[in-house]
Amino acid sequence: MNDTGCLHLSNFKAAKGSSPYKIVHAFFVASTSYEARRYKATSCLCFSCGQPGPRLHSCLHCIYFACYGGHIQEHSKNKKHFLYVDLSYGNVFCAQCQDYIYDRELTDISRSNRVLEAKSLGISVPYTPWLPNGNEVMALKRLRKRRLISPHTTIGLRGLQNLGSTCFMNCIVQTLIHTPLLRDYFLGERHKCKTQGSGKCLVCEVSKLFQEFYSGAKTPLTLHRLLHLIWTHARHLAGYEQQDAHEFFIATLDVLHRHCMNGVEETEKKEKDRCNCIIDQIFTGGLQSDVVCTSCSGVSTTIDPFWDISLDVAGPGSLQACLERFTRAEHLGSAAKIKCSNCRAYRESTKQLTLETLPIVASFHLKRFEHSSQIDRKISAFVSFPAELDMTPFMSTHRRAVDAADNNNDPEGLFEDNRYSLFAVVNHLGSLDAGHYTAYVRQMKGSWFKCDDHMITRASLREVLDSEGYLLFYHKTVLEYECDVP
Amino acid sequence: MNTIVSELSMNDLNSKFFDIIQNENNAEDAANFIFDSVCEDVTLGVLFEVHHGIKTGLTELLEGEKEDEEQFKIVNSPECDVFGFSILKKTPDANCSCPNCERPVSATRFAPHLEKCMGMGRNSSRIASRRIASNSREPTSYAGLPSDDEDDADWSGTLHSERRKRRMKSSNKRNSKIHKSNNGNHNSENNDGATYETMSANEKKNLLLQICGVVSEHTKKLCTRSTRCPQHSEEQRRALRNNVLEPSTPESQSMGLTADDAGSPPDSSPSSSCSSSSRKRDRHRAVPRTKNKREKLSPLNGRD
Repeated sequence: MNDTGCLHLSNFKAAKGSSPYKIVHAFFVASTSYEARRYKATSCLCFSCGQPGPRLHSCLHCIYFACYGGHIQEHSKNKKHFLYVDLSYGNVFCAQCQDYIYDRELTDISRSNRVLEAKSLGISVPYTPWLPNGNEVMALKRLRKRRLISPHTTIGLRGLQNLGSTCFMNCIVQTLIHTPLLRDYFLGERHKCKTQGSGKCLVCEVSKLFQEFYSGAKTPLTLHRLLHLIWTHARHLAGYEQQDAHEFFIATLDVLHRHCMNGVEETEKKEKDRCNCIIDQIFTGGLQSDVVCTSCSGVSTTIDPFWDISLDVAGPGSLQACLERFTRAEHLGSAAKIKCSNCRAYRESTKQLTLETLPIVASFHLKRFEHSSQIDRKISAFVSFPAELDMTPFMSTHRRAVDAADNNNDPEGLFEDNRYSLFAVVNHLGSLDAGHYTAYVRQMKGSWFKCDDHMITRASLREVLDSEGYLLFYHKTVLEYECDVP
Repeated sequence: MNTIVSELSMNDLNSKFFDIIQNENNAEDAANFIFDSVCEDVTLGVLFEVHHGIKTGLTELLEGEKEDEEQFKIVNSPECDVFGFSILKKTPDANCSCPNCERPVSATRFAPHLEKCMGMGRNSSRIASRRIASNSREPTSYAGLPSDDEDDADWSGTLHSERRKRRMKSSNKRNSKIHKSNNGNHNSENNDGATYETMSANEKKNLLLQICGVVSEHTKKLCTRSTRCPQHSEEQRRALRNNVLEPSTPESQSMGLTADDAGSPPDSSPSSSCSSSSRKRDRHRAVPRTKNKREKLSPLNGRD
């Protein structure tokens, strides 16, 4: 990789350093302060023709603004100022090379200015493509073979041996392995562990699993170490007789979340009591509970973190209907009076649950198993679920606006994109005591597979959507970049 | 730095802006201008990215050489899964090493094994105690016995084959004995030499910690099932123990009386805080007990 600019730029830097570029960039490319934005707004016009374009450049030698329509070239020729900066992206044009040139030092300046700009405006950092550092360049040169994920190969797929009624575990592992953001995290080797190689960290074990899934090997994997780790750290699961995939999913997230603390970088990232580990970043949402007093209309609001939403299936025929009912205000009745802090008395009230913040992965648990003192039964009612789901109607902001019947001005939700795509479905087949779990997972868009322990077969989206559904997993379709300024 | 000559003041800019938006006819022009600028900017961004990749060699570096995909192609056949394994054939069982006891275990029976091994399931105390016992003595002392213990079926691999070898050896021995007995010695025991007569007191004691040990009236063999095997009664076991272990030593007497309890030493289960006797009482209610535990501990409770 050659990103050391050109001879002419090197000469320029030797004479004047990189500060001329830094100044031009911080003021007129990425304006890193209010003052800089004022300068840019009032002065970025072509000094020759007075127009804002096309494609304004600044001379690097004397900060002369001119358009690419001929005037910057003219200036360069007349003054023999051969280097000029494009004001949209900050790339340097060398008139002697007659091309844009790329210099790593200047690129790094540009990137840090972009971060400062975003911070100054209070917006998220714009996307910039990945640039390898020196070591990474060496590695890329040395290891030339590239493994690609394609809809035609088994890369990323692996059967899982049944260890004696452990299909509940296999389904959850298949789901986690096929969670897009989790995959990016682990294949990017982001978990740097302090316990290195001790065999006691579940996050490390999952990290190894990802390597196995993408190794190209075809024989089924045996998850004995994973099962041992989870049982060791979640003893309430107490043996393999209890085979609820949902319970196992929550327990696994819990152990993973706790073991994320083994990470070198994770420990100090805790802010405002909110954990910032990869599990919480992906799976944690905020559930808002509003209790409204029927006498004084006083509202008491609490927000609790959640990893999944359990939905009653009796009645509604679709996931959206289940969610609608879940977020509907419910009258608590005279038998369940709550002390209103406003009235200072026990009052009847209504309670409404809404989603205050959405997790990146929205997990829904359809309550198909009914346990009561008299009878344990499975409810096989049909519940349809969509491949694409918009969560906006179930958000706290939206529901409030709808219930207040003034949804004509809802500026908060206007730019929010709350679309989700289905990427995994866990099904329970058979009866309560003699059942089996299978999972459908999406390997990439439009490419679905059925995972039945060691057996992986192709599946169609139709087949997935027609399945009964016990656990449904949706991934946020569009991800925003977070502003992460040190 | 040179002075910037064409600088407008913010006031100029503001008044210009208000002039423009005063006139509604400008709205469309303004919208088009903004759209074009954004469009141009975005396009330029893509162009720069591509140009940068090609000029610096980054694109070439990232693309590398595409791996040959032939060996990873998905098999499209109704009889096979994506890897080309028949959907009718069972996968061959593999062995894995138990992370808890480090013994090789058949993968398909790993979960029930681990449950016992970690002391969580119904049979945990028995298995654990047997392991403790077997660690404290030489492993060969009763290896000559043909094992028919169903609980040990999940031990496999090297151990299994070792045992099988021994079994073969012992059956050879048996054959030779049968020959001998054919020569008239009918009185001899046909029990692979594993009779209480040939054992030391210690061996007998250890053996009876692990097996039922009642001598069959028909075959004259020792019963090698567990200490609570249903075939024989507690009375039979107690009688045998009183008989076989010298009644004179107080140690062995207590052994004989409490053989069942001795099968579950207090420290057999890593997490259990119950005493061995309370666990013994609970043994037959193991399933509901774990259910109670589960109700108490909702999964999210342990989050922090």
